[in-house]
Amino acid sequence: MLKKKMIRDIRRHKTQFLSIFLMAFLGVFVFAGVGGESVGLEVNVDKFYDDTNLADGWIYSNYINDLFLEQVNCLGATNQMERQLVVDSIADFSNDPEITLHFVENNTISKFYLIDGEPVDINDKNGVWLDKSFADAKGLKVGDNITFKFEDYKIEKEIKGIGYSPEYVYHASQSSVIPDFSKLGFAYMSYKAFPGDTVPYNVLNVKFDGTAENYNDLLDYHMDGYYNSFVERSEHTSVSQFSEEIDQHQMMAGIFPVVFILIAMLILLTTMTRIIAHQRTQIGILKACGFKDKSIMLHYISYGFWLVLIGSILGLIIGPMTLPKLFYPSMSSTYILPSWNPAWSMNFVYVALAMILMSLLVSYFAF
Amino acid sequence: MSTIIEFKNVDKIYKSGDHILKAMDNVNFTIDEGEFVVILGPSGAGKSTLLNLLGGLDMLTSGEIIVNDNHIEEFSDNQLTDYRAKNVGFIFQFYNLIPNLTALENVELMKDIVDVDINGLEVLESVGLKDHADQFPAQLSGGEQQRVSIARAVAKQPTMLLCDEPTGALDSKTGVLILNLLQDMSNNQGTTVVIVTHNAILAHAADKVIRIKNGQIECIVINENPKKVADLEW
Repeated sequence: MLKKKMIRDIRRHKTQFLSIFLMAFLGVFVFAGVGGESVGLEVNVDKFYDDTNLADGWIYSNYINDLFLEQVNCLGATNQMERQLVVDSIADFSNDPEITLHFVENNTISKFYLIDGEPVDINDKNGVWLDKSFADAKGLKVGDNITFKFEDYKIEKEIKGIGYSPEYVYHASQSSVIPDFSKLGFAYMSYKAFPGDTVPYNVLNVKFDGTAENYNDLLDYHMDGYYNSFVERSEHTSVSQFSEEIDQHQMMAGIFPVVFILIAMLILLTTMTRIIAHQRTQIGILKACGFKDKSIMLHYISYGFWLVLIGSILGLIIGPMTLPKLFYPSMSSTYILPSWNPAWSMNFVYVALAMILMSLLVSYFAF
Repeated sequence: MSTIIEFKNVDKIYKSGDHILKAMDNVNFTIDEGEFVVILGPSGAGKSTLLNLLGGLDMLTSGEIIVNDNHIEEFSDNQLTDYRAKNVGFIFQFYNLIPNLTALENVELMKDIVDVDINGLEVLESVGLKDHADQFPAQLSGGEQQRVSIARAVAKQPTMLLCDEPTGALDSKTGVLILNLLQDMSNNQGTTVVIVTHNAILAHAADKVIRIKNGQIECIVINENPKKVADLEW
């Protein structure tokens, strides 16, 4: 019977309890929604990096020959290496788009991620594997030819595949923060496609054990003077830019819900204080009839509890299903990932539980 | 009839700073099972204090209160709550029904605290309010609300009904109806009824009258031939 009383009391103060429900819902909805979006970014990009075996670091040098390789291999911490020649070129289009060419030795580190066409063939001298964003912007497809000009060379290759690269999740020119995919891109080719006699490799992609700091110290100690610079993964432009984007989203996920949750608790506190003060006589009657103090307290504590619980559950369900869909389209115009799926974290449940617990405490203190 | 309630040398003292108020002063009396007892006294005599002590809503300062061979002065809070749930039915001057529960729901509220099988409609019928079962207190007259209050109190089949000025907020005609109902419960169902009032006329209908003044028992009168409430000249 006390449940009926509770429901009717809530109905009587429906404006306040609706506000409590909405704020509780919004708090968890935003936290789980933006959280699902940011956790999803992290999960999706980590999977992309894993699938493509993104390098742990890049060693830049003027000429990376076999001796250089041997020296890096002897560092002990190195467990995988691949040479590349990375050069900037201009593609043969009216707007002179800048295409970064990667002449890869074996496509085992920072691999090309194929979307359409054939997998990268190291023995193919005539093929190019092209940035999908650039291809879409230029209406290029598998089978088309494309010409690149760099240094004194002009080469024409057939597009064998279209896809992504883990090193170009974010790729913008120096003059613009927002990428214009019609003006820049990247392309992968076999080292055999290089037009010169020997390939002047200038980047060594490495995978290593231990921390980047330790590896940097090893390089410094053993190979100082033999290389120009070492860039660890976290310092890579694309990786760091995307990582900062995730951090910003995570911050947003944390800050906004706090406001909603605090408002919900404040309204709950004032509403329950008023209801309990107004019902002091009823509380006395219930005690006189023989209701235990604990039963009466549980009765009043449950007012906010059920609404916050229902609001939280709805927020947990609807948030990750809807909010990421608002963010991802605009994100995908700046960042390039093969998949954009929200992800789940138990933190969402913990925050919802914390809020439910807070509602119990707030009602308890109102009592 | 056996003794069901006994007050032995009961004192109740309230302290407020240096001020001491002796609300009960060496109170001694007994009440038998099924008696219709009226406690009379002027305002501030200690009538409500006596009722609260008997009902387990307050704790005495010294003495003994024995109900059904249980020393309730030794009860813990939980035991007192249990005692009230199973043994006491309170009826107050201002009805004190739960306003957003119907008449039936107010009666069946007692199902939450006792194991007794309660048929709310039957209980309401016994007080003549079966047809008003689905009405809220605001839709009932004062007399009807008080009858619902009585139904709520008797629904859990308590050992005693404790009534604090049950007709204080009612007109005399309605008051007579209520008192009639309470007297019938005492005479026909064997329920011990204790009524606190300042209306001396009711004394003629009681089996026992306990007069109290300044926290002390003035006298205890036993009526050999108590009158029917309906026969009293109000």
